Amino acid sequence: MRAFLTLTAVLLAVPASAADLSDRLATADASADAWWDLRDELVLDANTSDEALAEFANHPDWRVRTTAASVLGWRTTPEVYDAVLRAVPRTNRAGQLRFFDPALRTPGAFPAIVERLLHGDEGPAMQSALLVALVGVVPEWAEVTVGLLPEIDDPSVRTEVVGWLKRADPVHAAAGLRLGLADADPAVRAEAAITIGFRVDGAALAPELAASLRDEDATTRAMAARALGWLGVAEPLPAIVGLVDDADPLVRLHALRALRNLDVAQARALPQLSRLLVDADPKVARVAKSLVP
Amino acid sequence: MHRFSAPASAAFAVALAGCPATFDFDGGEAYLNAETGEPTWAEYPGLSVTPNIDDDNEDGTVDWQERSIEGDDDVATFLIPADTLKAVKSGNELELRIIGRTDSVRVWHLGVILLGEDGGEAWPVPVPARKADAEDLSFAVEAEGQLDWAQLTLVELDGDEVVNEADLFVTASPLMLNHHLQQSEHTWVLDVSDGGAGFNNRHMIETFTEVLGDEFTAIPGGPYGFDVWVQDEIQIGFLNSGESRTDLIIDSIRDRGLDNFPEVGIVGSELSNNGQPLTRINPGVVAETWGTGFPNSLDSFGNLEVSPPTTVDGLEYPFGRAYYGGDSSLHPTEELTDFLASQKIQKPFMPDTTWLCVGHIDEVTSTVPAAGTERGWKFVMAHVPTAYEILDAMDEGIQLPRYAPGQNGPNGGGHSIGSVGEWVNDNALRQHNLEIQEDILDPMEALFREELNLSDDDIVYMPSTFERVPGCGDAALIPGMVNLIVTNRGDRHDVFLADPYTRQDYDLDDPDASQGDDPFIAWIEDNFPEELDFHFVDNWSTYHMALGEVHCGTNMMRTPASNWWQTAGHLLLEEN
Repeated sequence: MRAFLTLTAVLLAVPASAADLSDRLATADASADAWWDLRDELVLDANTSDEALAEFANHPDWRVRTTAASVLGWRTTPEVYDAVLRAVPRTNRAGQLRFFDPALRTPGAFPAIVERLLHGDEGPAMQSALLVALVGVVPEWAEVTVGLLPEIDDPSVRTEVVGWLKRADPVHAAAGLRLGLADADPAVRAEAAITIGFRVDGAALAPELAASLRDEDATTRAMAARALGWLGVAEPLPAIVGLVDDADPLVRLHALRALRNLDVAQARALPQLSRLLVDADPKVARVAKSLVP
Repeated sequence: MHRFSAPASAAFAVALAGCPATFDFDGGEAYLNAETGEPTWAEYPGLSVTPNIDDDNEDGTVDWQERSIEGDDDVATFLIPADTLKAVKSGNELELRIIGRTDSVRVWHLGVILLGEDGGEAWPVPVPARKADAEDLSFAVEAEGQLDWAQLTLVELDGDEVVNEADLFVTASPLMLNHHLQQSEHTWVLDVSDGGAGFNNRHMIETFTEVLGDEFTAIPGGPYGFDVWVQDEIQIGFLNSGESRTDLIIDSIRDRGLDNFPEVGIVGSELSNNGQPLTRINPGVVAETWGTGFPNSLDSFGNLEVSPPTTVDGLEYPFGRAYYGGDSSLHPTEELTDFLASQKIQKPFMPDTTWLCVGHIDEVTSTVPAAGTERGWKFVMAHVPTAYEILDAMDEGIQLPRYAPGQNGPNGGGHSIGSVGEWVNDNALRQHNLEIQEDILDPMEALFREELNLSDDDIVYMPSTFERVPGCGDAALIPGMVNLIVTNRGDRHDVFLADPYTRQDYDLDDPDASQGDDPFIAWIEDNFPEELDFHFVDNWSTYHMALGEVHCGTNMMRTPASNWWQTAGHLLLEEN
């Protein structure tokens, strides 16, 4: 993960005004070492009161908010922060790293996890564990993860982040899923299409999904068709009909099933149905058979 | 071709490890395929022997490598009877010859290797000058590996001319993997009962201890890195002949925390420098690994299962059939699957499990005893519509605290479903599950029907739902109860499986007390064979939230079910 904060630390020796403190919180250096130095200085800075830091709880920039919370946290509950920094995840049955300690799933631990995520110089597997540990802990978890999304280098981690947006608030989910659909990596785009389908408000992203029906990646096309079918969005029906001729069987499968969901009469009247009944892919053929009265 | 003039039944007499028997050589001859040099098994399997790969004398060396059979129980014996010696015409000579895998079979007589590995290809049998002095000659046969074989031929020679001959086929046991109908002997679960709220299997450990007593061992977690997936690290099977038995543990190339468990937890108690058990605690148990290189999830042995006995297209499989998940691009290591296929006796097949995040076949299938049925067991198959039938019949107002967002696990805090209403009205979740049923589980069931010859009555559905793990694949949403394990002790059949927590009220310190209120538990108890005693254990935090369930976390030694040399020789004639 690239460094996230493009800040320069300018420590002032005079009592901190809110504006000064805001600048300092928002201007940490890009390098991890500089950030830790700044944080330590702020933690020890007698000119920066706990109350002043607490006032940043509603700051519009999540980076400023979490940095302020982190500094305050190191002052008030250092054991929590220390525990988060030292926490060792376990490997689940799929080989993924996950934190099982419930102590990490408390609001007080949230800034500490973000701090480790941003500045801990962790590899992709640990980044994944930390990001999943954030999900649902505090309301702003989605804002933070969506904010991080463009700066995550590893596509498998981006894929996971996009997938967890299934549980995000509508505003940040939409923002993150748009980023996902536009991602350079096809696995991320496909995951975004899948995730939109799982959301009750997914229809709000119908135009983006419709555009994804033309994605160069077959899995993304298939998942976009599936999502539109689940969501009952019928506007892109002609494009979905076109996909029943797709060269990729996964696309044919989900296009045909979406059509079945959206307009079963049209699906039954498809000229291609007789061919799909004997499709080389048994799943496609099975869905086609379900359309024969 | 001439036969011995003596009665055929007296030509060779064989004793099967303490169970004397006479081998009748009139039944035919063993022929070798001219092209492959392999036997056609006309006399198959003949004299059976257990591969001598254990360490009966507990000296740290595999018995085959010792070139001594003193004290060994893994040799088969046969006799050349005195009557055969008496029947040799005066002036003729008698010779015992060996062909086959002669570098993997030995014939011993009076403590000396006569034939095969480290011996010769023929041995002149001493014929006493006075017939009255003739006595039975006793021989022992030893084999190195599974399905090693040799053909022994006793010939009477008049000069260079063979005037009489008789053949004895020797075959080493194949490996047979255990299945859910065999009697259970010992069960293991890794103990993390001190792991705190987020990683704790106290209820599971307590339940196994209470039900199985001394036949259960809680493996200490620390030495094995708290790797709870005992099923995944090892697969246990057996080799046998007569009274001889060796339990063979296939040690997966998975090699996580439990890597050394078979060597230091079952076979021995400590490890030598060469990675082999130093101090043996179970001399009759061995561990072997097939495969090398970087493992994938499908190399774990939750992804290697065996059905109980079945007959398919008229072909009896008295030891069942093996199956493992995968597809053409993602599958267990071929070194292992090729080996399993080479054993022929449990002819394996491969359903597609690559849609699952973990990808193991034990996530969607199992088997349970069913004494009242013709085949004696039922195939258990994960089934989505059954789960939704139960859910749809529940009051939508029922809260499901174990599934609710918050502190219910490491994966985003759990499942994030607050109530039955939330669950059943989640259209996308329902569609997703019904697609899994239509696209994957129905075809998989059809495959099992074909490969195991299952009828409707042979299948019992396990209510199951699935949830997508972001970026990975699907995993059980309701704790995977199909991922169960069966212990059989006499007529008692205990089934251990996950508590589904599909109820509003429960006490995590005593989940058993509220299980009577759970409609999923009630459905299972009503629809599964009545002789099964179910134990729904709390596996939520340690297993379910880590994408596994009860079967994944257990393993078991079982008693061999049948004598392969009597019931399964026909399978070795089958082409792969």
